[in-house]
Amino acid sequence: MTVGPTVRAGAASPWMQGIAWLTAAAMATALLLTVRGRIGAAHVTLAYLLIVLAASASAGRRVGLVLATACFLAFNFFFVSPYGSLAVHDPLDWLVLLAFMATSAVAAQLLHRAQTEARAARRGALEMQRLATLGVEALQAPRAEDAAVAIARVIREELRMDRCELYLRDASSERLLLVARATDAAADGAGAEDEGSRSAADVLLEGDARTLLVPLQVRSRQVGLLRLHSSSVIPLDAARHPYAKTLASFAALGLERIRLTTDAAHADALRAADRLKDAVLSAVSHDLRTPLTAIKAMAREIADGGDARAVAVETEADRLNRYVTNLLDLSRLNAGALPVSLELVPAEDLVGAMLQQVAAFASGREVRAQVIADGPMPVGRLDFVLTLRALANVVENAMRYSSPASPIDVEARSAGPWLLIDVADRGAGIPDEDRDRVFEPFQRGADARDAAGVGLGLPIARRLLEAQGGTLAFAARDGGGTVFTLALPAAELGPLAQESS
Amino acid sequence: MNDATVLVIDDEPQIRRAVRHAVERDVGRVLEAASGRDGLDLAAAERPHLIILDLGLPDMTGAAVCREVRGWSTVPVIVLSARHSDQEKVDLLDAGADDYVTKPFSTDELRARVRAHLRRATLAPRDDAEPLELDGLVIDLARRSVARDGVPIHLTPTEWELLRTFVASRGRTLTHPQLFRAVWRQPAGDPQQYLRVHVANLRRKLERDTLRPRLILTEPGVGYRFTDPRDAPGG
Repeated sequence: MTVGPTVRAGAASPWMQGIAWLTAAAMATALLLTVRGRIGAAHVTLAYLLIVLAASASAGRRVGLVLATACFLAFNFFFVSPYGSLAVHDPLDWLVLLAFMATSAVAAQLLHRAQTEARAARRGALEMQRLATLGVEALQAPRAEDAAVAIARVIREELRMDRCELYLRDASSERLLLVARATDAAADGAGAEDEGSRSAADVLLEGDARTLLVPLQVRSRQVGLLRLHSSSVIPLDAARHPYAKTLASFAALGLERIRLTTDAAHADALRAADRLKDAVLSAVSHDLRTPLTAIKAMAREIADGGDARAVAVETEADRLNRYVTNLLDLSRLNAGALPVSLELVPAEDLVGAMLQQVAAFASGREVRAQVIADGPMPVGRLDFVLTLRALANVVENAMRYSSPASPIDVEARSAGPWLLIDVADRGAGIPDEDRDRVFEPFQRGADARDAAGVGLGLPIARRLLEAQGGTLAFAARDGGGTVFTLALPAAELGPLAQESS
Repeated sequence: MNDATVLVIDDEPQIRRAVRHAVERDVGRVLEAASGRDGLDLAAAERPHLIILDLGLPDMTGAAVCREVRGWSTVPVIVLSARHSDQEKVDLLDAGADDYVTKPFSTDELRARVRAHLRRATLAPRDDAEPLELDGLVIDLARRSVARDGVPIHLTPTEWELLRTFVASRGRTLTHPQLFRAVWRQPAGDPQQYLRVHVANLRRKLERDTLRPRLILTEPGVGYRFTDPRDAPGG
């Protein structure tokens, strides 16, 4: 691959240079012949060596070796006796001739290597400078897309391609998205159609000897594809490989920047949508409760007039309100915006408040409650409001899944580091296949007696408890039914709580 | 109580209608205002015996209306709230409101609250020398004694202070900070965390069933309310 400036502008061809140096060698031979009688073999070999070295330095190794051979022959012919013949009589002359030949060859080779290294160093410095410029351009571009275009342009120019394209891999759809294209303005003709988004297979399939596809990776993760196209067959040059790789990694970083920018914009949009959702839920809950209040009041008015159906309207309005409350709770839990304020709460206070709340929507349903307190008063360190909502949800769930005639048993007690509250029903129990789904939102038991219920109560209860270091578990109840157990951190009462009468 | 005047301040006509329907059997006159400004003007002109105030008014916050009313009157204020957080309710009670009812409220509950506050407001200032009889309990603030069915009940000093505070503001919802200031006579402090424990102990001594209290009711997220069982809904 002859990529890059291997032949400098203005330099003559090797042929011309070879002829020029041969002429110079011939002239030197003629000059030396005029003084042949007065000089020794050493003077002649030194003069020829000078010419060979000069030729090697200026015209390269090949010319140097050709010249070394020519000088060797000339030296043998004109200056080694017998003169005018290639025959050598004195074995010492052989030594001189061979030493001359070896010195010329080694010198030409050394010169060649030094020159090659100097050229590589020059090219390396140039590449470094290009890369630095590219880096600055890529970083300073105000938009990630502009940076990608700049990178594509530099790659095309540096690698002397007709076209350079950068494709971004869309992780969700597995498609490649054209984000930057640089073309040679002169050579650009066909193939400039806008391809937009294409499947990876399509892009990969159209490769041929004039197209080079380079997968782009960041931290061993595929981010996209670099596609190079040339009007001639693309040769591969090992010396330029590291440079091409570095250019490709710039392209990969450019693509990564686009992806991160897109992700950030996406996250911003999600946050905005989340805020909107909360605002909508808050407004909806307010706007729903106002008509619910009116509906309830009117239902009561009609019920007072003797229509029993109005009582059902009032009950349904209450249920709708509890549903709205649960939705709001779920939204707040999902947003992680639930403030928890822990305080010392006696179990009696909690269970009493639950009974008061449940009585409002389940009048006539028997709830048998007790707090076991043979020792000190059972007290938890918990958020009163959140725990009350969780407890009321669990009790309401127990009511829904058991016969209206059967009572719900609630029992609170201390158990080491925990304050435990059992809520037991005489329902059908929870089938094994439903055990994992009980705490998932919007799941309901298959035999849901009350079709209007939506399975939010238990998932919300569990998360309300977990938010304050508690748990919610369930087990089959002896004699049929289910026992749900709320566990919350218990609290030891300090001396401040003790007081003598 | 049948000559009492109640002022309803709410921008929703349906809510004003619902409130009117709930309370008009118990009171003489129900006035309505659709904005905070109109409500304050009407309150100043008519001097109602009780104000029912919605928190979601278009022109003023509930707290602002409450503070203005408290500037010249001790008339009981019951707040109607919908989306408002518990903290907002606490702030409003601290700003001078007497009670709150959450939408959608039940007609019976609102009636009971209105009756209780009107009775307290229209009664002649109570003579503390007179023992108070509630639910079989005789509370004598002057002699610092409590007895149920003639059997004396022993209270600790803190429990006594709690009971005294409850009785003095019976019917009103007291926030935890209000109770704490009244009992411990300091704005906040370490003993505050035991407030619920002291209330639970007091209930054990006064209530017939501590899980179904009739005197000291819990208002979740807000505080406690000491009630006369005769004021309970349907009572």
